[in-house]
Amino acid sequence: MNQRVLFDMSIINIHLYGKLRKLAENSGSTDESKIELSWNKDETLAHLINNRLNLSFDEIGEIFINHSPICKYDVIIPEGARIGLFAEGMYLLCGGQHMKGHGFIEKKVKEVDYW
Amino acid sequence: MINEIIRINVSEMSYTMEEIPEKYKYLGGRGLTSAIVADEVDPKTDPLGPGNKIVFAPGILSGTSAPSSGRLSVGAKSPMTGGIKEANAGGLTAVRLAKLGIKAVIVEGFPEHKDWYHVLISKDKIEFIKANEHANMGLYELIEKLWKKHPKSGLCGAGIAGQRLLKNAGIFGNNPENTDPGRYAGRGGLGAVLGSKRIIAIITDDTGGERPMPVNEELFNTGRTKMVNALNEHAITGGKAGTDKGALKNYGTNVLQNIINEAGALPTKNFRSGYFEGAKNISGEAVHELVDETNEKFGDKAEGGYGHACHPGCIIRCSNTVPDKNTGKAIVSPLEYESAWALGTNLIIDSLEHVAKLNRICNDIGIDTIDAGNALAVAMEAGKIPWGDGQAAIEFMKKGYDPNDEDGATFMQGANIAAKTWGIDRVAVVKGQALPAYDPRPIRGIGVTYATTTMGADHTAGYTIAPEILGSAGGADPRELNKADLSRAFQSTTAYVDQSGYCLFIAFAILDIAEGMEGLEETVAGFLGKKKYDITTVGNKILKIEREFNKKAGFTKDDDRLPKFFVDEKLPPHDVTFDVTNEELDAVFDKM
Repeated sequence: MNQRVLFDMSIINIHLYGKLRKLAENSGSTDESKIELSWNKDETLAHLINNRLNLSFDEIGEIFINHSPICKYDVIIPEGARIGLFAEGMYLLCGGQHMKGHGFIEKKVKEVDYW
Repeated sequence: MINEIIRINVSEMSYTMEEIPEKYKYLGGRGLTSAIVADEVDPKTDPLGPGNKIVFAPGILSGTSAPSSGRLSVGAKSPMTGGIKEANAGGLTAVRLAKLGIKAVIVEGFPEHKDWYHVLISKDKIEFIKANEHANMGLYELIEKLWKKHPKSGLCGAGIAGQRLLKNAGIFGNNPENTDPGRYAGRGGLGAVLGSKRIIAIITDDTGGERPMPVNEELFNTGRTKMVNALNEHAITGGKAGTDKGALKNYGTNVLQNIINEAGALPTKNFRSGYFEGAKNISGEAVHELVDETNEKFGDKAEGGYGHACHPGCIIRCSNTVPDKNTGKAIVSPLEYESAWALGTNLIIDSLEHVAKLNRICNDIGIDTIDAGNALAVAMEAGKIPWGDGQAAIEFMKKGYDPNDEDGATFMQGANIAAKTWGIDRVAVVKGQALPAYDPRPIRGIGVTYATTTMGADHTAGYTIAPEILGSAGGADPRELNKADLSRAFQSTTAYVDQSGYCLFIAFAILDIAEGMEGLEETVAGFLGKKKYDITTVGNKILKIEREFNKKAGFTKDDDRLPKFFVDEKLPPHDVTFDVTNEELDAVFDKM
């Protein structure tokens, strides 16, 4: 019997936006600029960005994991995560900033489970 | 400063010029429009009748050398919400009025005649110009004709929808190059109020005018330098078009299309999902890429662009022009996030060309894009247009040009009336005004603002400024605040910025860079000659005036609620409902 596999939990999908699209094979604005990497237990976002994507924090704007905004780099990446990475300068504006509960990305704020 | 108010009486076709009363001396923009409307308009009056007045007011700093400060506020009792309304926009008129020393233009009375007029405001005279030949004319053609006679003038007014008294009529404004009437004070049907006065356009010629000078020039200049530095330094508002730096200059406000989509909060198919697969195709990044492609292909003949200023003196420059892929010619300017969402994502239309053309029709017939998109969603619910069919939506919208077409007229009344007319229950409105591009279920804070603002559902009514900087959070982590406190702080600050004339996008610079906040306070205080002009105090005062007006108009707490489907229906991908209690909604103003 064929069984359709919906999600491969050993993979993380990283969706790239702005100038970060250059990391993906399909890097046009109307392409789905995505790379797939293996999921590593207990890996932090910081480790992924600095060591596996070879990016500095200065190159990063808004970050989402499974559609939730992330303020801190020391979060552990969950299995099978969908990560949205935006280039520096690309941030929530206007009403979107309500998601953060404050005006702008502040890396030092403590983590709050908004949901 | 000359500080005059012009009163245009359309009953008598006359005008007076008055020195600004002491009580209005330190007001401008939204603060002034709301104060005048509250003082002079009976809250229970018919918005399209003789008792209503429409007020145009440049911000306090408009026309000065303060950066990005040329916003024009327009206020009246709204025919769409039935409450007080302020909508603001860039363009040329605020700067032109300010240079003539005009703090406000009040249009009042009710004409018995059936003629149409323009009002020409210049240094030496105010003139009524009969304009019957311009009635029912598309606004692209109108502004071109008006500039031939009045070059460089600021233009604002009522288009086809406003002239027909349809409730989604906005107040158009020409852009600095006069290539597009798309600088809209769009929301709340203010174009219909001007149309009820039989005025098509207000033409402002500032020849011979002078830049408004601050009372305390030294303080103003100190603040101005700080604000310029902060805006240029900040990652969102700074940078340079065509480089890797500067999100707004490169992608415009539509940078949000992909961001809010990734956040799972992008309302899709009339608020059924928070994620749209086709969002990337109509995003700011897609516009940027198309502009680059057409510039390369068509060279000097290409008309697309980004990093465009919506008013003189704007250094944020988030406006853009969407070009036609095949000719390089401009389709529309600008294509904002809210418009691309309303005319694209919410209708599951993912063709950039179709979305831009829909926006152009809105600009041409004189309607607000947010309510127009929601009205199209209602038309799709009613089976009048197939979901996702951009070309069919364009053909449907063109019905608005025909004065005898019932669907066209219904659609131009906005989503609320369209839903009632076509028997559709699912319509996303608060106080009769359609919701913008942030779903309130995953973003509950904006939901509180949608529900409680006096303006009807409006994302700009509660702009997010960190409450801790405003001193209203007692130093606590702002994310520990409840949504009511947060929304109140945001609404108050927004009211202040709306009165200053600054664009709301200064928010990033004033929040993240201490020098920016000092720049805001010092430019306003320096211009007015005051030692201090407290943000929260001033903002709260404006909110109270507006709230009181609505209370007298008959609004109650029951009007501060979102449509029921937001409470009952889970939104994927977060699968959350809007679960803020009514008590918390009521606390926004109970505790002010």
